[in-house]
Amino acid sequence: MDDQRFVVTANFTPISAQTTLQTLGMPFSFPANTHWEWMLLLLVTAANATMDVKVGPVTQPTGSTMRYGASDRMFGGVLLASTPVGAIANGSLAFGTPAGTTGLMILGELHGATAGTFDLGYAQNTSDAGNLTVLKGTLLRLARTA
Amino acid sequence: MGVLDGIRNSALTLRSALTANGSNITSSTTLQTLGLSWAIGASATEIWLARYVLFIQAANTTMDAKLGLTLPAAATALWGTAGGGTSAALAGFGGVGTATTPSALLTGADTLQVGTPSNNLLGLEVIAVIFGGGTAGSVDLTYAQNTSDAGALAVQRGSLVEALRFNG
Repeated sequence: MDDQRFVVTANFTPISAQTTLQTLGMPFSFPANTHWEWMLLLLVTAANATMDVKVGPVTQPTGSTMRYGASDRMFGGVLLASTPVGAIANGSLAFGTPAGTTGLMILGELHGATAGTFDLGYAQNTSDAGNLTVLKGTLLRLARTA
Repeated sequence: MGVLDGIRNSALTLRSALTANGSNITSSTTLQTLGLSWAIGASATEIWLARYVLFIQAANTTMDAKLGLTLPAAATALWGTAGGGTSAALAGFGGVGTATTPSALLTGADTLQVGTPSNNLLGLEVIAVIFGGGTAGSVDLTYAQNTSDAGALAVQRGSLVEALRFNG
């Protein structure tokens, strides 16, 4: 299928004092020699604005290339005078959190020659005793482009 | 963790667009149906993603625009603009970097306030995750002036919604 959809159907157990990426539980079986665009809509409740949230691949197919970022980061050329932030290749990326419930819209692409599992994860960006909870409704959509 | 894989039986996609400009709203802050409705089913496990692309024409910068959601009984939503900001009025999916503190997302009963340009088009993307509550019915976006003004506010032809079912 060229349209893959995953969704979280129950709130996660909160994490605290945790900066190691934890799986979002949405592993995608990446076929060899394909290109995909993807969108992660991450819904979280954070106990405070200190921890922030970090997103990145827990598992990525061998030799694959990924670029991703917040929707504003990927499409951030608002004014002629502005300088958009570059997209992130592989690695993890951190986003601000409020004390409360918020959403992050993250866009990306993935391509490679070797089949494997693509699995995104999350963690606190700054270790904090407060809870960070991934919420029901967090979703991932992947669309094959080539 | 309750995650479903692939959603082969739920990958329904619905699309709707305005084929004519919407009615002008003048001197009214009462929310009116936009006409981009789509239906969710009676399953309480349904989860949908809705992406609205809106073209809003305003006569002036005074009125601003106000948006809301109508949902079937017991359904809930988390929603906001695609970019978002740090104000409660323009909440959205806006956590760009750690230096920013995005706003809280809106829930079903909330409204979103959007600034309008003078006699020009505003483009806006609104994102909503909608959770079925066990009652089938229509989902629609509503709009109004945020500040009552004699000038006209209208949502233009080409405004659209794409609704994707992820579960249920």
